[in-house]
Amino acid sequence: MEERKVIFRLRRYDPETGGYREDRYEIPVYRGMTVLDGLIWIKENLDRTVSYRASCRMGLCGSCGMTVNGRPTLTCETQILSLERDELTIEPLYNMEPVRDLVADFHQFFKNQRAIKPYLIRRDIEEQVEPTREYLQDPEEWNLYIQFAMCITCGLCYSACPTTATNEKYLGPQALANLFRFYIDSRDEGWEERLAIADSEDGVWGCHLATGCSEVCPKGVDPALAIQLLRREILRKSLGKKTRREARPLAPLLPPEEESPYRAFGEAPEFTVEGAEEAAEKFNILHDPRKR
Amino acid sequence: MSRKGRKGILGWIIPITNMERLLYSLHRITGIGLTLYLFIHIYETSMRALGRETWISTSEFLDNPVFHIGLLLVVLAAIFHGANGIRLILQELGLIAPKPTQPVYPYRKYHRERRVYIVTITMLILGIGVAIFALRDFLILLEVLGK
Amino acid sequence: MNGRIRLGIYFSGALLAVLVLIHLSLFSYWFVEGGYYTNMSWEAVSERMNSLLWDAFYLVFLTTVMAHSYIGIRNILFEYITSDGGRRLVTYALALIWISAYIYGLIPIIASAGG
Ligand code: SF4
Repeated sequence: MEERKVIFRLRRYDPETGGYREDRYEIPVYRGMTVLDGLIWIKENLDRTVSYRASCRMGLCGSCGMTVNGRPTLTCETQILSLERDELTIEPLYNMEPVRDLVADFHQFFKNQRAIKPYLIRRDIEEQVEPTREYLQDPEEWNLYIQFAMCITCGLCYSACPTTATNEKYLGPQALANLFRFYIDSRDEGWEERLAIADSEDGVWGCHLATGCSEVCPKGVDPALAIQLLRREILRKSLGKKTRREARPLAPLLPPEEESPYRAFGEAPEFTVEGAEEAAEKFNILHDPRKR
Repeated sequence: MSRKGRKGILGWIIPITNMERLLYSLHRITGIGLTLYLFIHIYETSMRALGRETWISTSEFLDNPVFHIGLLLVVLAAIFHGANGIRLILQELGLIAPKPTQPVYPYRKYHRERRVYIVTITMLILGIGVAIFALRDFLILLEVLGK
Repeated sequence: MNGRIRLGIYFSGALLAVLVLIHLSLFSYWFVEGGYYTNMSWEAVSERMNSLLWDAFYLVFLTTVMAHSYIGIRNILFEYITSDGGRRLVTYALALIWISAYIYGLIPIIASAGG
């Protein structure tokens, strides 16, 4: 097969000078080679100082988002030949602070993600921590939120959004879509709280439906749709109409002779690694709603 | 909180990734333009309070090709802003939002199609209506310019 | 800061869609050759302004368009000015400008309302 060459122009951020520098690399391309493969090839063969973030190489971890030819892209899912260009310009993701070369800082992004309380809020916290029964949910209810649960927090939507370009307080498409995912989940009971978070200048009202987010999302999450639906809920609420239905009751109690399967697990095994106990303790504090 | 790396005002017009993103930029630009025109228009019409002479001299001052073309641009901007605005009202308040579904692979294509249909259909319906309107304005202005 | 002010832009926008159409058709109709639109002549405008219906129309129109543009520009500035103090300043400074322009725009309506 004839070998094709493609030029990678990397717009690299230099933290020492605070500026950008452009480097050109020519790389041979084979069929099926992704942009990330190209970067790995550069690092292995041409320039070891190139920094980028990547992990799973199969579109699951959401680490390798970069701006390719002015469009936020998940590089591991994008084949070089499918772009049909002889020259690719690769930059760090827009609207995030660059760290070095092609790596962008997700600090604000994850702060927003935490701000929307991405966990089930239940009134009965005791039951949530020490569950005795299951939460019920039928496929119809699952269908309502599964689309927004597909998010891999890759940050492409945040980088494609025009509002985040200037407004650093704006929650961003990803956080709002995630908020809606929990809002509409039939097991969740925190909808009042969630609507209050969304109902602000920096929440749903910061969105102007440019839908760049839905366009670039590699997982079909469609954050713009989530924001529209959230807005409709807020509108309905302010008009005094019914919004979300109540959470469904728990599964019926098992007869006493059949113990709940949750009880059957017994005690957790001893920790074998040093320091693991403290880490687990920290984790528990972080994830135990009673200690939040 | 840092603005470093953020695109700033430039980010309102780039990256243009899709059709709605372009409409968003145009909506914003026409919006700002129309606001400026609104203020000029208020000033212009307030000339009435100064009596007949001032009004007529203002009219005469405004009667030249530059202002006529400017006015045409304003009319086009207003029509675009209005048509797109109606689409935004319908879409942003979730009045014509599709039901969320389980994404189908390839995700991007599937969702783009769904969105593009909605936008194209609403814009077409609105567009045909206002196009007739704009065409008439355009013809009239051509006639004025011809004089 | 309550974001729900954005709802105002939808309602005023829907109203404006109708009002602007009427307003635009005004200067396109009644076109007579020679010079500026004749329906903009002193006499034609006076005739319109003397009718209470048109006065009411202009009053509603002016109010809606001012509210719509105020919310719109405020929204745009809020995206750039994100500190609470700055946003408060924007809200009041814009309100001041818009209210003065509104009063200015009322002048021809009120001046002609009497006849
Ligand atoms: S919503 Fe889509 S684009 Fe945004 S972070 Fe999640 S997976 Fe990435």
